[in-house]
Amino acid sequence: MSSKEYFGNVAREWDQMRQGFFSEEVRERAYEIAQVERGRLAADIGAGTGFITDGLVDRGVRVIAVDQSEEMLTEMKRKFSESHDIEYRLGDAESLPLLDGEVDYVFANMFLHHVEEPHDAIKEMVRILKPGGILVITDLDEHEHEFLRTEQNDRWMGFDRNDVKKWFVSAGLKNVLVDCVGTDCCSRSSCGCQNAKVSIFAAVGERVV
Amino acid sequence: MEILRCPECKGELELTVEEEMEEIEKGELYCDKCGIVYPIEEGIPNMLKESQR
Repeated sequence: MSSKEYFGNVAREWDQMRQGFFSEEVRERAYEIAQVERGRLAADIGAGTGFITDGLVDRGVRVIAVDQSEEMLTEMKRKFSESHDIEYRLGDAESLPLLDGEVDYVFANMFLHHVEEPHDAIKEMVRILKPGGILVITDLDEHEHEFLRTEQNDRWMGFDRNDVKKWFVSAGLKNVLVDCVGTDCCSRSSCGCQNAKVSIFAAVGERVV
Repeated sequence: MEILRCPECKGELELTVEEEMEEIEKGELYCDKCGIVYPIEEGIPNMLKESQR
């Protein structure tokens, strides 16, 4: 099964599943380190059903939500039908459906561990940032829970923070910082015999030019 | 949607609207250079590669 199929299948239950995986603290930390300001434009990459978008809209930020799953975006659109501040685009990590320098912020929460080439995905996210724009990635630290790969279609078993930092710098970001979010991602295997508790990092960087 | 570019070649896209309410509900975006048609369904443009749809 591809991750597109996996997320297509769980779109309707995703909000409930997500609550079990990680808490609102993750996004609060993401907004905080991005220092989001009202009236700006953000891209939510791997938006799912809008976990990151939700708080951005509350903070007066307009959002372009990108996901590869039609089911996820349709579910998100239904949830946010009252909002006029969100645009939806189906697209993938390799060639994001956004223009060069289109947005002030790019957020990607729990997205990177699903892509084939994380370094290329980061470069692509930097491409769509305005000069001075901020990229915030929140994802899993390195772990050894194989079932996250076999059952939840994770491509990477988390990341070494030093690698993430290197990728940010080589993609043309400055003031790069990779730090703890201070909360864990929790999951249980389908047999119930394995529990994963993985720490979450937040990486931030500013586009130079 | 007028400002979307072809994710493949970054070329300009030609927009055809089939249904429009507050936003474009149904239509398509056509890349003249690649010959790819990106459909718009329920207000969401599908900018995935044809092989990934």
